[in-house]
Amino acid sequence: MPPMADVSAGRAASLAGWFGQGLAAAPDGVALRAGGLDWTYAELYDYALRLGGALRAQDGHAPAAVGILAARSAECYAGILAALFAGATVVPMSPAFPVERTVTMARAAGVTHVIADRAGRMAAAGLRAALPDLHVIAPEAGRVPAGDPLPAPVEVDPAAVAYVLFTSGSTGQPKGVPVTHANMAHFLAYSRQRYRLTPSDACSQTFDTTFDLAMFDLFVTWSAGATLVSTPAHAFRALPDFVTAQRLTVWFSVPSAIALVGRYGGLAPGSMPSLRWSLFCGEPLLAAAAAEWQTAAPGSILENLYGPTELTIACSVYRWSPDRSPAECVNGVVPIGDIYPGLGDRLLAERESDVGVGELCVTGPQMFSGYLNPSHDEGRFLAADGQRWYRTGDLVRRTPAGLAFLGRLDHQVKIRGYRVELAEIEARLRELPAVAEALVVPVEHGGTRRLAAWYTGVPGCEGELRDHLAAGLPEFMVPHWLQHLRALPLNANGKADRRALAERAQRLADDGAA
Amino acid sequence: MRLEPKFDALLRRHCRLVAPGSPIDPDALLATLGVDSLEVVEMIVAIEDEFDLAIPQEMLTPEVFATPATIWQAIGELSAQ
Repeated sequence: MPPMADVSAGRAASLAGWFGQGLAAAPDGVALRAGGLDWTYAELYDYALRLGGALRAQDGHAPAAVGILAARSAECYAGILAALFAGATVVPMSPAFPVERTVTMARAAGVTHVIADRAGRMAAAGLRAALPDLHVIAPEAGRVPAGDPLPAPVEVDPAAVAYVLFTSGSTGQPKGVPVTHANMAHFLAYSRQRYRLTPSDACSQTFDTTFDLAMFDLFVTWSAGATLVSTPAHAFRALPDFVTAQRLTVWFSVPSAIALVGRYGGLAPGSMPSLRWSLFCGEPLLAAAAAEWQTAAPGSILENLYGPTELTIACSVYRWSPDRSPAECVNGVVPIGDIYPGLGDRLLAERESDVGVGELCVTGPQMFSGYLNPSHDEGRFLAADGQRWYRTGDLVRRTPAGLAFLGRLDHQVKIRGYRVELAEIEARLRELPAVAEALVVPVEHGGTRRLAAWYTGVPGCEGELRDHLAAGLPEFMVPHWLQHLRALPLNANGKADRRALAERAQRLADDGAA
Repeated sequence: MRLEPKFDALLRRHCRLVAPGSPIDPDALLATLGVDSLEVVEMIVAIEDEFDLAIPQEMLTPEVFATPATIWQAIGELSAQ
């Protein structure tokens, strides 16, 4: 482990301040490479101040929360900065999400303004139809509507909410997670001293902005004055070419990207020599995948990060060692390692006899204060030792190599890193009169995890059900297989037998027959 | 706009949220048609195979692979070369 340096060194009070550190270090360095264009720090800063001014010009006062309905465009990245510079909360949205879901998010987060890029315009129109008071700014490729630019970023209280992200909720409604500037300050101070990036680094940006790991990409990169390189999945077709052409030094993605890159021949030994950090987060990292990536990027230090959105991006880390690590993996999964300095962890055991195994609970300056809807807090916090702890729902074991992830304690699954509560999809299915009961299970298919849904009720309604799901849920929550059953199989306790249906779904995925 | 039949058939294999028999909106975002990040790479490979093209690195972007119409435009440009 690296030495426990003083993580308060060089700490900024707000995300605008962290960007300001990179701006001061490399004003003429490239801050962003996206859509075939390079933006220097000075240019991106200027564009964000102009967009921030346009936000203020809409109704004269500061916007409260700004939706960023954009993906991978200059408007997306500058829009996030603009909202922060204007003193507002950022609410990342996706042009690809159904409008119905985006409306739910906008209402819950109190969004007053939206910045939309070209891809987000159609969704913005739908959003406006549902929320007529919404101000929509849709700049055309770098050109900003009228309004004086902000003279400088507005100062904000460190306790103010920097961004709100939504995760799937088991009650059928997405849960809003507010993360403050102070939460981010702890995370960024630690990441700055751990990774020690400089203006000569170039960092991947693989994560959609609706995923909190994108905030790592943006602000770990920008606080160092390094270059953020938009890295869409399309680049995975020939990733070594991309990494080399962009001279990437830092890679950060979900572990399932490894299999995808490998499928197209991108993991040949030594194929990505420019990388000096290879970071993975968002879902369990398999030992075999880590070993293969390490061989392809032999000059990089490979780490497995862990952390739910509620604990601000990541709260534990394990450093891979080709020699030592294979023996330290549990069930072929790389450990999640040690909790960051300054945070506390404890295990909530199911039975008194359980020692060193239990639900991981974490507290400290990266812990959020609670969901936007306080009713979602129920059962998610633990009071112990005079402190409040966030219950992750993850079952872990203490090992000499740090914490090892064993599985979930509920029916949450990860799809390419996205958290999905199966109950949310089931609740959405049961909204339809044709559906009596519904049950959704994960299956492994084509090197990734997908979903299958079973329902009872009126047969032959699969198309209608799929349309209903797609109208309200993001693509990754819409099952690939959906079938009618006369009755759900029951287990010995008289409950729906998830395991039997999961096995049946797996057969369906494997050979197309249930 | 009606999609060219070979392209239409290729898209249908990758756009799982398009109902069989219903037309594909050429201006719909791929993700709303059910194309995830994994599927988009599969689709790139399929286009290269079926149209006998090599899509250069600089065209492997979300702008080119935004909608059926933008992909078709790129196929046209590459085929003309």
